[in-house]
Amino acid sequence: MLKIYQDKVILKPKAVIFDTDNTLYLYEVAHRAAMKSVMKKAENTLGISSQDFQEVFDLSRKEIKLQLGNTASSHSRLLYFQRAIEKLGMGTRIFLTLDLEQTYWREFLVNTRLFPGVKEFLQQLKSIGIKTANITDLTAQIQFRKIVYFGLDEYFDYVVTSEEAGCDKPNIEPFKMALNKLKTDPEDVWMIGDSPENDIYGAKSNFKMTTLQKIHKGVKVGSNQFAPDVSFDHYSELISLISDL
Amino acid sequence: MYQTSRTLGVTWSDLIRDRLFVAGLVIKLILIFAFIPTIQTEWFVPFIVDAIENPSFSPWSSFISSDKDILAFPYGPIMLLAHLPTTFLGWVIDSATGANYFSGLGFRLSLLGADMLLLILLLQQFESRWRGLLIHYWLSPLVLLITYWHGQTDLIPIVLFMTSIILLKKNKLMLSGMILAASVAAKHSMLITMPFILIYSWFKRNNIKDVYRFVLYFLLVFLLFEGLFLFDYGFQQMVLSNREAEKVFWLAISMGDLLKVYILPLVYLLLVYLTWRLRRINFELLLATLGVAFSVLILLTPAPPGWFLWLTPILALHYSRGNGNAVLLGSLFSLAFVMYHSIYSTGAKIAFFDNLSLSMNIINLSDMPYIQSLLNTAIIGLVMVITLQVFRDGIKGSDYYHLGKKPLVIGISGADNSGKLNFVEALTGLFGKNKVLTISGENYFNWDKYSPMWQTITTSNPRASNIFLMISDLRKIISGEWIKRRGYNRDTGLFSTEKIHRGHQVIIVSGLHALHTKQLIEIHDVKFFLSNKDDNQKSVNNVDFEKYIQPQQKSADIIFEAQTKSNKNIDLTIRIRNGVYYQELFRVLIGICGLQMEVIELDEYGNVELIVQGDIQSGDIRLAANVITPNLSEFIDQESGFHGGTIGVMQLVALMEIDEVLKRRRAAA
Repeated sequence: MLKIYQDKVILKPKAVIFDTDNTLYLYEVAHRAAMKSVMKKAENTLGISSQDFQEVFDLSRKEIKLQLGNTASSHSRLLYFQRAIEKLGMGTRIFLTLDLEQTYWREFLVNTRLFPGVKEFLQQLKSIGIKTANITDLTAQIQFRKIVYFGLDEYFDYVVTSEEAGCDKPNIEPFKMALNKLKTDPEDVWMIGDSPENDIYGAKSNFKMTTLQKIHKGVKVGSNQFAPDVSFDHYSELISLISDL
Repeated sequence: MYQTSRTLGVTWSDLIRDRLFVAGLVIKLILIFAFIPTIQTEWFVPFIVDAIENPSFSPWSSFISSDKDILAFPYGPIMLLAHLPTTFLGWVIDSATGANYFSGLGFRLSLLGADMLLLILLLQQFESRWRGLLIHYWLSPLVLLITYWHGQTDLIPIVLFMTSIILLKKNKLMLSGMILAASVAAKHSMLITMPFILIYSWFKRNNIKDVYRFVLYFLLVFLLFEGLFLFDYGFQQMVLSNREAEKVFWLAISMGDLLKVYILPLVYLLLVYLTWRLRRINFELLLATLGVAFSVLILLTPAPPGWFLWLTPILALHYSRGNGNAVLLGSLFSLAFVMYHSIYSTGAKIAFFDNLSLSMNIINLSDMPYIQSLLNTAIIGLVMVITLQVFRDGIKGSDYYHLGKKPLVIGISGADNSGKLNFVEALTGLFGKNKVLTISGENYFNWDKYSPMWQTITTSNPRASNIFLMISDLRKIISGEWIKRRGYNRDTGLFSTEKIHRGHQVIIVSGLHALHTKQLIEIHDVKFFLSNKDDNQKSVNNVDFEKYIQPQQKSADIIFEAQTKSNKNIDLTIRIRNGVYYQELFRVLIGICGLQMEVIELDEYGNVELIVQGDIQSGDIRLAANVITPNLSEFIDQESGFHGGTIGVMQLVALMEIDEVLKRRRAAA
């Protein structure tokens, strides 16, 4: 259900910025299915049980994230798989690493679905001349692939990845870069995302954008400095909201 | 957005977030907890409780030995097993609390489980119709009335049956045969689906051994479930002598005092024959055909309400296509059905209110029999019309049907060493060996390798081959005749003895002159020309090549110019005549597969030249093929048919061109 907080006056935006993962589609389901395939492959090629591989993968992921901080590379599956194989005592296996990464993203895409109403909402924004951008924390290569797979490549006017901005949200840079591309004042921009810390806080604290949080199972509405102006469950609610403004 | 089929678990995780699903689930849970169908309390649940309380080898014999109702459980052991766990849990609670409610609740919960599983299976297979299926299946008044109000248990065999045909679609023959056996061992009437499934299996695999294997697994598992019960008196009385079986002979034309013609078996056999004559059926057409078979059974017998349940998934798929007329007719049918059975069938009691029966003589209409007949006529009439729609749409939507009329003929020409043989093998692997007939131009050489004639004429010269005979053979095969032809052994350079060749779903004609002459060009549905970037210069020096081979490029729909020395790093130039789909190919190869691609030229006629570079795995080609040519997914060998590298990209382009040809055929039909 759509909720507007603290009697915030919502005005029609001149531009809307979207987060990608968990905002346009549900990440966890696709990730789980992708990891299942990767573990099956690892089991066949390395002779290691799925559980053991998962443990090493999780550990490698933590290490890489700690090592690289809030950068695009810190999300790289390629690096996670490389480190996991190395931790298994097999040295750097370049072909296998590439193979696992390719398998991961292939299965990820197969099991990914846009939230209902996303395309219709973007179509509505285009039809009334509202500009759109996408800010996302990952490497450009895979985020572009996702957007093409979703068939949204013609819907976004601009895309900013953390690879391009040099750091992840909630740092100021990705937002600044998106606003520069959109050439729009932050007060006239809506930021739609699922993460209170990265999307809502990032857009609100430095730029005073109107923030909208996508709510679904496992996502709680942010509070205090992380509180959004609007929360919603379904994109059809945003379609109605824009129509009424 | 592109979509390919997801796992049941992933489908389920989306489903539980869907409001329509949750709404339907709440309604069904209320019905389960609040209403107790009469036939369940009088027949089904007492039988299962008796089986729990008096364990024996044959619950059927045990049941009738105590003079209980012989009609109580006319189902096989799988139906019993499906209901046993939850009914047993309910029975434990009943026994502990002294209540008489939870055994029945357990029975009804197993039906809800089957209902949900059927929904997930349908959504997994037809995800693009997600909302329609939730409305027309999950919230269907027929399912609510027949299962949760009237209390019929047919959802159990239906969900098993649906699982079986989905497994068959995925080429999991053994498991499919076993699950179908379980479905029949739940309710014997499901046996009527067998001929249609065998026909589907035969058309799909084109391998009689696979059909035998399917039947063998079916029989083995069926005998495992029921073999010993067949000799059991109680099972014979309650299940095999079931009064429903007599309905097959209910409608007959009398031919004298003793002789009759039974209408139902006659119409059923005609339908089986008509299905066979379709020659190719895909999964959706199989479902449509089964819909007709179920309808025939319903129309030509005094069908109990449970039989209508067999139709509900098929009708839901039909309505969810979004055709307004179909939805209107479906609504009228649901209305007539609900009215009829609300008035004339047994219903349910409200739980904990023993005296309050909602059995359905809401209005006393017993003195107005014509109203019952009128309602029945409306139901029968609407089922007839809807069934015709289902069959018509199933045939219309099936690319297989258009393929069934005439085999797909693919012509592949090109220079020596251009990779024709690899491409032929890749396409053969894609469609499956059993579905492809390959005709090599070498078979039509006039002389074997050792003939002195080769000193005066090159293989590139059409006079070295009997092209007239090749055309004549092709025409015969396309029209369904067989030919007897010798083969050419590349290793020895000699001709082998003659063999009989018959038509297949796909005919691949390859050779130096596959696109030479107007007749051959007209015969081919899709025409490819291959050249090798490495050997181009050498070939150009050949006069006959320039005169007879190279001009064939003009007739090709697609020209592949490949760097074949390294199969890993793709360096492929593709020229597509009228390449209407090149943008889609471009998006998928770059966006999904991560290849580098460039449009070199796009002319005013839509002819396009592309360069593809990079590296790609067979799994990515499979993903790309499934997202851009989903209609062909049943037609190709998903397991091992796809290649990586250059050949994989060529397979993908070939599939797009074939898809285009089939669409044109459908539009022209």
